[in-house]
Amino acid sequence: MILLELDNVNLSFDGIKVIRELNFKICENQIVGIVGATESGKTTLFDIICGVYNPTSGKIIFEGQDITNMSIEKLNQLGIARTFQNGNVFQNLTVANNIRVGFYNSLSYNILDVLARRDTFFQQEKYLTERVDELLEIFELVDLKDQLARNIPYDLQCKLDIARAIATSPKLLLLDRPTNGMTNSQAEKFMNIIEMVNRKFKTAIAIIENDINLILNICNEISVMEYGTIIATGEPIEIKNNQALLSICFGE
Amino acid sequence: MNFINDIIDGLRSGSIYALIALAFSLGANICGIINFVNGEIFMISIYIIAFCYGLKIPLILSVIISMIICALFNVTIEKYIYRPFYKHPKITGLIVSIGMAFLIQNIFVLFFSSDPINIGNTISGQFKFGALEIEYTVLISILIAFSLMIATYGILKYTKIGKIIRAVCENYESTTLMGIDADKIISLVFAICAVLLVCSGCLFYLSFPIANPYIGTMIGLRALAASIIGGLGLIQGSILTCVSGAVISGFLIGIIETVVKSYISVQLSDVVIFAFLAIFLLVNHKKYK
Amino acid sequence: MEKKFFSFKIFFFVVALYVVLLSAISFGLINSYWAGILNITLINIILVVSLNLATGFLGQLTLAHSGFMAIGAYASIAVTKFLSMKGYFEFPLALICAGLLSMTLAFFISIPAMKIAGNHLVIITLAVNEIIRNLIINLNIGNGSSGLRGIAHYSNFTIVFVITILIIAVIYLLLNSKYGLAIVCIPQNEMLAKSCSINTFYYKLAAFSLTAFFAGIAGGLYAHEITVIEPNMFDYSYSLELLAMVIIGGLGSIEGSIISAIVLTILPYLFSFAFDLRIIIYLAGMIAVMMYMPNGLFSQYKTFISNLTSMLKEKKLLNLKR
Repeated sequence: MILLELDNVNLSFDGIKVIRELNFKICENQIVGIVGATESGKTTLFDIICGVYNPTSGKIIFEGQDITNMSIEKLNQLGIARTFQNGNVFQNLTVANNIRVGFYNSLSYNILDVLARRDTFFQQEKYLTERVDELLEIFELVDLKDQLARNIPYDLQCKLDIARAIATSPKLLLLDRPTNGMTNSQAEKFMNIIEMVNRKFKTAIAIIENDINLILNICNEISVMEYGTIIATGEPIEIKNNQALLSICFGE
Repeated sequence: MNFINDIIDGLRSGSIYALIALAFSLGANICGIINFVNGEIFMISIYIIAFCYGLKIPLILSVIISMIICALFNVTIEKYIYRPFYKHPKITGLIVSIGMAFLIQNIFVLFFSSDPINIGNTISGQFKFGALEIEYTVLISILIAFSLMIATYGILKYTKIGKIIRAVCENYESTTLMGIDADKIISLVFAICAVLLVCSGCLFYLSFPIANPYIGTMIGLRALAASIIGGLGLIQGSILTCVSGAVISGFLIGIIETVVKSYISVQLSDVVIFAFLAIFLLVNHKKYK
Repeated sequence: MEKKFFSFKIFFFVVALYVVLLSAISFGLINSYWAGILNITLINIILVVSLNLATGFLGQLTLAHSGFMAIGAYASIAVTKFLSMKGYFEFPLALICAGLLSMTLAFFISIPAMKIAGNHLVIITLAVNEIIRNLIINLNIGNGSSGLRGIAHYSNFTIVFVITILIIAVIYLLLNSKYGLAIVCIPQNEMLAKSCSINTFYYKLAAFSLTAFFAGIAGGLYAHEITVIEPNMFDYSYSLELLAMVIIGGLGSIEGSIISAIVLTILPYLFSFAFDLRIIIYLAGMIAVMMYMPNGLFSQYKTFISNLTSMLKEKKLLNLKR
């Protein structure tokens, strides 16, 4: 069941082709890894999928719908969430509120409910607090829940970013270098969390990572990017063992 | 014939706007904050010139005294009020700037009255050019405004100090890393802005009969409109285009103002200028950061 | 979030305050001069709290607030002068019209304006304010620059008090829900907010329009309180004064805005020398607060009150039952 498909997508900035003839697929419940040398367009690929940039040509299809020119917030409503490379968080909100913002689209009350103080408002907010606490526990951020996001250490900010993205209940989660700032053991524990998210919430996940070894075990499939296009896709073991491919990417 | 007279009058007020717009452009480019106090310095310089001239000090000397005082004033405000806000978002500096301008205006009104004072009448006479009668003040204004524009452009583009100023405009940190005292350069630019404002004040003093403490905001705001339309916010970092753009827009605003005043109404000129500014900003928003 | 309709403590406090003040006015303890000042204070509370919504919470600094107030003032006068209904019918109608007109104008202005970065937005709102003022003068709306006199004094204490409380309540309730959370995260990181399904454009429009709505109502109340208005009262320096009150109270703090509006309105009347220096005090205060206490003077009132109570408890001046 194909969840997301990019069909011959091109993106140019002022005449410079950043993404060229890119074809990419993710199926439901899949975990896909994306590797490649720096500046090969990996983050730009995520930007295109999320609506930050609109491709100059080509199509993007999500769950059968053409989403090529949709806005960022519409795409999030449809079920695409992403994290950012440098752990973007809301600096002046507490950790708990950061995650709470992620749950925005799961709240269905309207203004009248708020002003008339109806039950549905209180119930939904209470339920929300429980879900926020649940996510805080999964990501081990419970002690810091009332701290301002800008005061917590960088690697925890990255985790917070991911928690927020998961809070949006996505069908497709795009993680951009999620283990940034983590030690090796933390990163491995983190991979378990990603697998759990994939299993429990039935979320398809695409991960960009610089270190291919980290994602070998959890990915169903790995794609290699170079100069704005995908040059190879295959099973993790195949990619890892393909010396020629690795030397193209990492220049040996 | 009337129309041409209007244009010529417009060029005279335009010169005043042009110089103030130039000061706005320079100030905003060097430190990122639009210095609303420019309007008040313009007003204060007129009062100083009037005061000194009233003490029978020759005009040139009055202007120089005014320049010294206003330069010191502008530099002090930059150092103690604006500098703490350079690292903050630009909006904060803007609000401080507007607040400071009104603060100065109100303190001024507190110590001196808000009644208008009599100025001008120092140079009278017209220059006859065929059927046209152009007053001397018009010629002097246009001449001074243009020469200052060319001088500023020339200094910025061709001299060593001009290059240093442009460098600080582009990137404050890098210039400090290269051993240039960027803070002193900023103070220098603010002093230059004050000098330009005093020149503009001098032209105003020569051309118009009365002044009151509120002309700072009135004229300053229109000059700011000129400066923005001429490229203050539009072309980031290219101070040279800002310089010429500001001056040319200044003349343009002057002409628009006089034309609207004679053909439509006095007050509507403000509406026209502000509407133009608003629409300009709204239409060009894509080019802004 | 406790599940109650409203907090009884606050309700009783508000009702008690109303009863106390109303009796004081009716029995002459507060003479009509000070009763007028009380009304003006309440109107200023509306202005400052609504301005804080757009500037402190949404993060879009605007200098057009007094312009929208002016529109509200003139619109409400148009309704009360040209309808000959009883005061208690036509005044609320006038206020609603005032609010709606300001809100509509703000809505159409903010559609293009909200795409502009903060620095230039301030200049545009300044221009808008001046355009509004100049158009009122030029199109001779309500006598143009001579202004209007003899406006019916419909703003009695009860109406102004009730409307103020309602507006504070609406803003407070909205901000303590998903809407409030969405609004405060827009200025911090707009891209991130969009990634959470928050339609930031819609929120900016809505917050800006709502702010103008309340400004319009405040304008209507103001016109019918001081009974004499002229367009030059509503220039951008008045917007700046209101902004100064918001900043001194604390951007993003409703309680700070309320305290700041009360203190800064009443103080100049208490000390007559301060009255002439009013604007100077506001502006100097604003700049000082921005330099040294960027969170505002009055936003830490909770800490202040808790420090005060604990200090008094220590000295056994307060004997609270647990």
